[in-house]
Amino acid sequence: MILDARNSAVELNRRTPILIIGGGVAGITLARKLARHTRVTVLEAGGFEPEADVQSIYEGEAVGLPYSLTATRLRFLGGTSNHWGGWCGRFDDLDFRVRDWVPHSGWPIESSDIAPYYAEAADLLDLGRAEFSPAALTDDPRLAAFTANPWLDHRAFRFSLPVTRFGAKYRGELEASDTIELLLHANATELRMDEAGGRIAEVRVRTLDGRRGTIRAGTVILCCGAIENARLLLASRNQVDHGVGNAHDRVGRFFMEHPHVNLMDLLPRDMDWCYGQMALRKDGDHWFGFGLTLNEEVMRADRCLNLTAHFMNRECQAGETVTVSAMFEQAPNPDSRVTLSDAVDALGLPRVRLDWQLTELDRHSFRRAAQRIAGALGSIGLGRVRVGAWAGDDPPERIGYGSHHMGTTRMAASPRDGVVDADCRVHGLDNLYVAGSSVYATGGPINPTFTLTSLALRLADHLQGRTTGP
Amino acid sequence: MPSLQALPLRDPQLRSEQTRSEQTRSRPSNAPGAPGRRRVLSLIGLGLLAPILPMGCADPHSERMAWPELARSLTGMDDETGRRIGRSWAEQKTGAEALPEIDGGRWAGDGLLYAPGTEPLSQLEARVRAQYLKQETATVDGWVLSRLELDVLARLAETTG
Repeated sequence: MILDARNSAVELNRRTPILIIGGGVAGITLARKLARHTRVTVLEAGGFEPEADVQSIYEGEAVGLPYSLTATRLRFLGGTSNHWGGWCGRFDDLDFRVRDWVPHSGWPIESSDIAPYYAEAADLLDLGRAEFSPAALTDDPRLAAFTANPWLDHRAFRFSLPVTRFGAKYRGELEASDTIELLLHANATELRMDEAGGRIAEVRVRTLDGRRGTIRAGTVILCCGAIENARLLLASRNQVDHGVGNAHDRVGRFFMEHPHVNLMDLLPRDMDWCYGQMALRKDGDHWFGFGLTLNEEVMRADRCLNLTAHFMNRECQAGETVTVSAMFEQAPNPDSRVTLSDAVDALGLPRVRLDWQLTELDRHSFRRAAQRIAGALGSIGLGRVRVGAWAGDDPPERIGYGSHHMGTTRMAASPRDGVVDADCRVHGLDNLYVAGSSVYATGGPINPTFTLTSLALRLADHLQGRTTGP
Repeated sequence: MPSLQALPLRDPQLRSEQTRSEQTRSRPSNAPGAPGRRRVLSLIGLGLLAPILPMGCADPHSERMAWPELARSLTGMDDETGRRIGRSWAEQKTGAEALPEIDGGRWAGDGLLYAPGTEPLSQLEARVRAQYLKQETATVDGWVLSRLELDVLARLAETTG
């Protein structure tokens, strides 16, 4: 059922076995799966559509690299799935491993731990199937021409088309559910621990029009996105100064994006090859496409980060160049972080201060990837490449981003290295979990939604084995 | 083997005359009035004596690929861009690079001379590919090019469009 917390007839003091804070991709994925076995309450800060006063809660300060805290997020049912582009891909095995050239790399899980959830995630996201192997998807010789170079690999993307808007798609199911209660316009404002400090005892809730309540839950799962997850933990400081789950000052750190860089302009010798690279293709009723990446040996040799490069122009006349743009994994960096501002929002919560920072490893990776890909394209005779001045010593004039917020409650085996453990449970707290891309220890070179959906499904399986009532 | 230093910039007047001369030489060998045609006619006139003439009288490198054509074939760039890059490269380099030896071809002041039936361009393209793979490249005016391509563009820069 769906209730509006602003309605005075709706009781805001509640008990529930499972409380999910956030009605976006991760929250709805968890709720649907957990509700097969138990009762679930979901708090959604917005309604069914965007509302200015609700969205304004996302305003804050960006003190590092330029970043929009409001344009990259949406605060209503479905969350950022209301404006995502539907790009889905899977992490490389490499992304989970410790790489000696990438400080703070490595997850406490392997890709094989979430691979069993890929098919279910593909179904949720309307991808058709979870096949991402380029060789399994096509034998187009124009693609083989690229991988004739020993440095290049292809990466496949599948597209959610029509793009899955989680709020719109699952609203009917949520309304009809007997085991899910979704509270709209309900903002979690504080996590409160029990006296021993080992569990979350209750969650304080407020509406923008001033209604208040307290929800006691057996298990609490944060699904508010990487920026808000960190904000809520840090802002819950009435019992501990540094906030909940932050005994080792890890909450909010390691904020990651996917830096987008225009790597080069390609003067093509063979446009047909380029079109082969750019083309969107069909797998049954579903669409997929390809990007280029460097293989693991090259990344190791060059000590650079993972990436995916795309040929951007869809039409190109003879003599014109094709822009090759790349989305990079960002180097995990404890100084790239979310903290609390001195300003407060309409709920009385401190606003966010985001200090998004890149490291020399990021800039080194931009340069090396440009040189490698330029060389690779030259070696296969595809064309010649012009890179920007930044490929020398200067950083790119403009670094874009993908509205992919990751890493502020990163997964690590030790509480000294991260906020959640391999099961997405906050270190030191028995019943507090985090879902979504804030648990990413590294960001990978692909859009985050498919992986975070798979992780949420895995978390649901984990919780089904241990859920108890409040 | 010619080098950059062996290919001084030429006076435009002289250069123009030389270009006309080159154009004459580059006519098809069987064109009326072409040197090659005269050679063929005289050989016919000599009849049975022809087999005993010294073979060195006929240059086996009778085909020619001038710098602009060669640069375009290797890089795919227009001449203006190629010349601009070539000039920058020539300014960056401290010494001249010898162009590689080619089976059936030899370098001349105006480009590449080669024997009919040989494929010097494919040899050069193979060398260019190998240089990319060995990262024997340089970035000049933003363009990432193999050193061989850059050396050819430096020769191209000594010509006018």
